[in-house]
Amino acid sequence: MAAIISAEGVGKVFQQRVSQPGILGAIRSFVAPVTRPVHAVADITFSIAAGEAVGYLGPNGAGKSTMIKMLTGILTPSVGEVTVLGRKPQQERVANARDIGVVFGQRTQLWWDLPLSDSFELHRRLYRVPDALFSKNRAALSDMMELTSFIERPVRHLSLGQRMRAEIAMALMHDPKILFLDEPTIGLDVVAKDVVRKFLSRINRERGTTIILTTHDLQDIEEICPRLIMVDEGRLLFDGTLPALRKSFGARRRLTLEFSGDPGEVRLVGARPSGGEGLLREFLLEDDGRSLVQLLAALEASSDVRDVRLHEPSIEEVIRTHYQSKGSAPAPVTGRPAVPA
Amino acid sequence: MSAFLALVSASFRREAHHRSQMMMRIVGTLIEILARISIWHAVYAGRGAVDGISIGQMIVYALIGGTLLSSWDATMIVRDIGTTIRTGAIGSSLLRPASYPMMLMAEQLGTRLFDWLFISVPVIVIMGLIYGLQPPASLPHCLLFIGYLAVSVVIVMLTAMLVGLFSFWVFDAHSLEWFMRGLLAVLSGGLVPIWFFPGGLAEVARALPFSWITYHPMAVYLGQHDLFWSVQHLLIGLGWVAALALAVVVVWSRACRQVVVQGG
Ligand SMILES: Nc1ncnc2c1ncn2[C@@H]1O[C@H](COP(=O)(O)OP(=O)(O)OP(=O)(O)O)[C@@H](O)[C@H]1O
Ligand SMILES: [Mg+2]
Repeated sequence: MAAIISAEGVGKVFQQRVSQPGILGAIRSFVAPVTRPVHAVADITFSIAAGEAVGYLGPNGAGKSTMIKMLTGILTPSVGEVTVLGRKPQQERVANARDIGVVFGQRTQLWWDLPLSDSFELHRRLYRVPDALFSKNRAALSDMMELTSFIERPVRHLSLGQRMRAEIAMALMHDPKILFLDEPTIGLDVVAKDVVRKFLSRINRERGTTIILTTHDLQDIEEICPRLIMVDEGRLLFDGTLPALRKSFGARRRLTLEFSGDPGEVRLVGARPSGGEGLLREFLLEDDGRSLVQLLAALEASSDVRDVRLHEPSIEEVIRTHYQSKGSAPAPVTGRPAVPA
Repeated sequence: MSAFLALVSASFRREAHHRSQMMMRIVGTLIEILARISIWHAVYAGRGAVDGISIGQMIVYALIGGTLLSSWDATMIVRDIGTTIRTGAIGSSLLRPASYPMMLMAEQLGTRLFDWLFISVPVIVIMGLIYGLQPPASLPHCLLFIGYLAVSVVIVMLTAMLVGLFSFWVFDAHSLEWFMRGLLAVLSGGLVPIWFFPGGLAEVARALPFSWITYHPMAVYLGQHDLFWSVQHLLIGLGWVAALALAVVVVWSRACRQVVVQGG
């Protein structure tokens, strides 16, 4: 399939003002501001086909929002070229805006003081949505996102979860071909996150809407996006599927065994003991694709196995492995507790 | 067009949600107008007319010039634009499929209409009941005044947008805001009618577009000029509107390349 979104050697440099200490410094930076270039995005190339769902992942400050802003036409790349539906988003901002839907989790597109339905109505007029299509979409989306109970309430009275559902519903009112979401699940509770994720993957499946979303919540990607693009410090680290990511960044599956009696020394070919005491033993497995049955057959222990668990590495672990191998210790990627070593 | 009207109406209704502010703003405007009228009473000191302008005419000038035709809104618009740019809220507008200056214009128009209806009109009615309100010089003058009123509000908005857009280059628009506020207060004739200006300054002020904000509309209202002059100057005013609109479009297209959307 032809690419509907592409980035070629895209970079974005911001000039950040460096503030200088003291009154003299303030005066000096007023007269001749000192700026420092920040490479928010550097030399990124990818292309996305119609109907894909892609997760754009990276730690704070990796340049995710900046990339979304360039793709939605509100920032120009400093170097390189982005193309969305055959257009340069910034040069043809209005035409581009008509064909895409955008949700910025940190910012609202809704009219704060007006009832939600007013924002939808305004959206209809701004995007020139035909009446029949609008009423169909409005009914379907309100139903799926359960908006009906608060659709006549002013937006500022809505809870964050309600607002985000409304936000996403509105972004889809004009049947956009592509939906961009910058941290759509930020601040939502488990239930709300689940609703949003199910909804997005359904929209992607049923309407064929291409989805690109940035997130810190790796579960978003596991549930919505078969493909993920990982960036850090503006650079592309990885582009591919989740299993491929696990493979290339070498995070191991973890096997936990519980024995009915003291197992003594336990040996398992192709696996490295990684802890456990008493009746419990843990192993990190080589990436050889052996099944659980094959693993148990290869087990050498002096006691019977009572219980066994096989942990697929979460993306967090994958990413942590990557950072550790890089020798830098980044801030934890999510709020979840670290996995014991 | 439908989108434009929808935006006007949305921002009008948004204002209606700030009803609690309304009373305070009416009171504030009343006090300001009261002060202006007292000043003119003091200046006139019992004389019937100064330079051919009666005290009754001066009161209407202060009343309408300080409400419907005030240049004060320009400051608010510049502040709004500056805030949108500094906070990055401009990003939300840029995601919509419409021209940014058009959207700004529509939103500001909605706010202005609301203010006229719920602040200016009550103030004019209250003060008119106290001091009496001189009617327009004639029916044609009145009709022309409505045209001037439209030109006035558009010139205020375009001037403010022009200054506000400079926030893209000068990141702190406050300095611009103060500069513009002083400039408009004087050159619009809002503080003192231009007919009281010293000769040379009056000539310059009359020619600049800012005098279409308060001075020319009031002069027409009061019948200071014949109908031919009034129509001719209405057309000149429209010319200024076109010129300022063009300037806004040009500055905006240059600013576009400069856009740095903050945050997120
Ligand atoms: N307007 C700006 N001016 C200067 N620097 C900026 C600007 N916007 C972003 N940056 C810098 O660019 C880098 C990337 O920012 P960006 O917002 O794209 O990160 P992000 O991946 O979205 O991070 P987060 O996960 O925290 O949202 C950061 O170092 C940030 O400080
Ligand atoms: Mg971000």
